[in-house]
Amino acid sequence: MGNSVTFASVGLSFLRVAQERNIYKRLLKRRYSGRTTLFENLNLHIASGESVALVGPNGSGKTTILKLVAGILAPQRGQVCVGDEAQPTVQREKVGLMMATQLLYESLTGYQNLEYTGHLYRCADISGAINAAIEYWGLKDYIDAPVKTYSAGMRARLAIARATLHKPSVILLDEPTVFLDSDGLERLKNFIQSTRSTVIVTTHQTELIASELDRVIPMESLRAA
Amino acid sequence: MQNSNVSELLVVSPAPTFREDAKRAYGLFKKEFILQGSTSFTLINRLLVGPLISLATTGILYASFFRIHPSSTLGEMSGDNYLIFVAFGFLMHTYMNAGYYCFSSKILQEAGAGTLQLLWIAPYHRLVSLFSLASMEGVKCLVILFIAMFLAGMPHRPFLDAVGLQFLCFILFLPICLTIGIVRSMVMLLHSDLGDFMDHAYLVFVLTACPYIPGSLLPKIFRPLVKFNPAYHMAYVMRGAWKPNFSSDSHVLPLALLTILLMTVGILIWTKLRRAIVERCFI
Repeated sequence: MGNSVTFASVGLSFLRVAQERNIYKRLLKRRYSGRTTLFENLNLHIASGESVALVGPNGSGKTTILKLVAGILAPQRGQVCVGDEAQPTVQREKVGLMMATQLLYESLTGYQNLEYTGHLYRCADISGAINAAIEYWGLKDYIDAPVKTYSAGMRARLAIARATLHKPSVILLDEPTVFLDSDGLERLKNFIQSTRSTVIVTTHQTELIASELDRVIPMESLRAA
Repeated sequence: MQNSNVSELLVVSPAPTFREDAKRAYGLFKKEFILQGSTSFTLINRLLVGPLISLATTGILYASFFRIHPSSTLGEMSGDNYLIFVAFGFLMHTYMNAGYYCFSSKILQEAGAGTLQLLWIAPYHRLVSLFSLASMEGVKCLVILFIAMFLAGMPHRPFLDAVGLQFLCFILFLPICLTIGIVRSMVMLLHSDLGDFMDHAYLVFVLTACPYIPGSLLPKIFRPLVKFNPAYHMAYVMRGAWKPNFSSDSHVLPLALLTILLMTVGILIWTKLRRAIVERCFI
């Protein structure tokens, strides 16, 4: 089953580093020119099993929302909850994250990347889960090659397979559609439709997967809230 | 294409058993081994040939010296024990370097490749994830320990006592390795300009740890620093464990105290800079 995801009055800002020309000052102390505020008071509830897309321009905070759910970042104020648990104490097995940077080891083969994830997230039957993922995402012909030889589309497929291998109850996909071809996109749509996990997708290409999603959330609406 | 039954495969994870945790640790270490030594040739080269060559280089220098001056001594070093002195010194130096260079460069490498986030969100204690990055160096240190013990022969005290002392040193020094590795990573991530200064300070740390020369041969200006260097005490105990009538107390205690001190400093720095590091790496 999926888990609901709730943002309660979340505020997040981060330090802006100023350019400092004075070498002595630079050696002793990095100068910060203040904080950039991303969210003042973010409230959002995504129901268990719901699939949503976050849409908005670059820098609007879509990926940051995924990082907050995954527990990579912590808000200055408020709470991010997955089910009944608040970050940073959420069981990390619950969340599967695919980032635009794809979180793959270039020197390892596709299989080794998946195997590593299988061990890390203690899949009961690692080889069974990997074989199912290879079949599902159409990775068969490339799985024993190092990731550095993969095309962007194959990397994206592998990255999604890696993020979903352990059957997390919350799946976070950062720009999954960017490099996928029509076959890859079909597989992704099929996955979103059939999974009972909660799915949060960030995308610029909403039209490609909108039909499979329960809700499309513009980032402006979150900032205004 | 398959119409999936993904949803049916969803399971609620029970609490991990020891066996499952061991399985995860195996996954972490296996990944490191594949990344760092893709062939058995690379592994043998890194774990055995490299250390033997490094050890032989210093050993040959001293062997030549003591062949020409057979009755001379260099501080506590003589023609009979120079190889043991150098071997345990090399072990301590490798262990320190594992913390300072290998551990931190692996963190930076993972940060650069974008995979540090994967370790950060892995369902594992973050310290374990971090330690796994230096697993290859840990194995290398064990190999050097066996070489050093082989060269030293049988100790003058019960064998298990001597080996126990070696491992006690390893355990006491571990937080120091972790601290210097994390501090270097943080400095490189937040103030890369200061990296060179830190490396220079580390050279003084290595010099005053006396891995290859006795402390009494150091220039006078450095000698007072030796007593405050935990690595010096570590090497002293490791060498002493093989000697007759050796009392470890006067070195184990300072090693333990310095470990606690440095660990506290490390925790303070980490607590203060943690948020900045996370923002730097992950935003």
